[in-house]
Amino acid sequence: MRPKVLIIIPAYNEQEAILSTACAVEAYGYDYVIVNDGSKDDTLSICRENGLNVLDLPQNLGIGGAVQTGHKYALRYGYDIDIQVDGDGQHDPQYLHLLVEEIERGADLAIGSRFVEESRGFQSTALRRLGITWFKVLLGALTGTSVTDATSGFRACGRKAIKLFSESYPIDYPEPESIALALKRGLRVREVPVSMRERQGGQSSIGGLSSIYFMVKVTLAICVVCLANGRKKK
Amino acid sequence: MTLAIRLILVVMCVALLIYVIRLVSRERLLLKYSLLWLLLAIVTLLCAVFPGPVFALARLCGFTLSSNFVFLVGIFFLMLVGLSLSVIVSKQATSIKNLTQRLAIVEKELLDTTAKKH
Repeated sequence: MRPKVLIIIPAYNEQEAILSTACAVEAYGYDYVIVNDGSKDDTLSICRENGLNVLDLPQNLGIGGAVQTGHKYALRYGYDIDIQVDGDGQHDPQYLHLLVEEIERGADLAIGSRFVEESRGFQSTALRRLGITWFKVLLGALTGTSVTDATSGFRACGRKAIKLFSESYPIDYPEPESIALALKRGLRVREVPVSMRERQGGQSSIGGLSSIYFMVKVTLAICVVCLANGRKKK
Repeated sequence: MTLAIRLILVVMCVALLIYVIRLVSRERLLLKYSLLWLLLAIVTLLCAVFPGPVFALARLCGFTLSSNFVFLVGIFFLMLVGLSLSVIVSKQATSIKNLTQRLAIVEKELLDTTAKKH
């Protein structure tokens, strides 16, 4: 039996790319839900006018709060797998089936990585790659699992991960921290090679001074998660 | 600690106690959040009324001015109150987030049901 798959598209001020992202996902035959995270632009009206499936958060919760809404929606409607695809068009839906297959092969959390196997496509700036390498080292040291692209937002969750993330998911910069949480709770985390495009519209949530806050906050969060869940590991 | 300082402390603590109790009785402050404030006022009041043990403890800890010791205890309580406020804010932020998410999902169900009827 084919698993029920839901694509979660978090969107904050993504009026340029949201329609094409949703249509692209639909063209591959997947259910999707857009989570409008209190956008100040026309994201919501574009969704409503085009009859897109949209959850409208009445106020901005941050990317983690938006994605968690999608997980709760998936849990409520009994989806077997949910996959996060960012609303800015960075994630190519042609790789969706790879993530689905990885979950079907027994992974609980499948991460679309730009750095597994040969390097392809958009690889981000040198400084960001340095940050990603730091998380790889940190996660490796604290969990014993190698995750080459911890900041990737292109990820698929199986039922166990959907349930875990519905209960507990970080509010801002959630990706690396939630991987640590999943690993410490005994979930199987695997990576799938994908390539990404440059964003088609919108702004990255990370840049300038906030990137220092990002590094410090996420590093601290990973350490806290590992400390708090350390004894539960079998 | 001079008599004047002790008198000022007593007056301030009694005023604080009365104000906190009034806030609670008018339901503008939840009783459970008033406990730390009440404890702060009572401990400081006791220090001012019965300075003997405080003098001894202050000398033991090496304070030359025992009023400094009283202030230190007061500041410690204020830090506790501050931290408890952060805990309360965090709890409320999580509740608001969960409510926001539930609202979005329920609103969508409502819109879908009314759309089907028409």
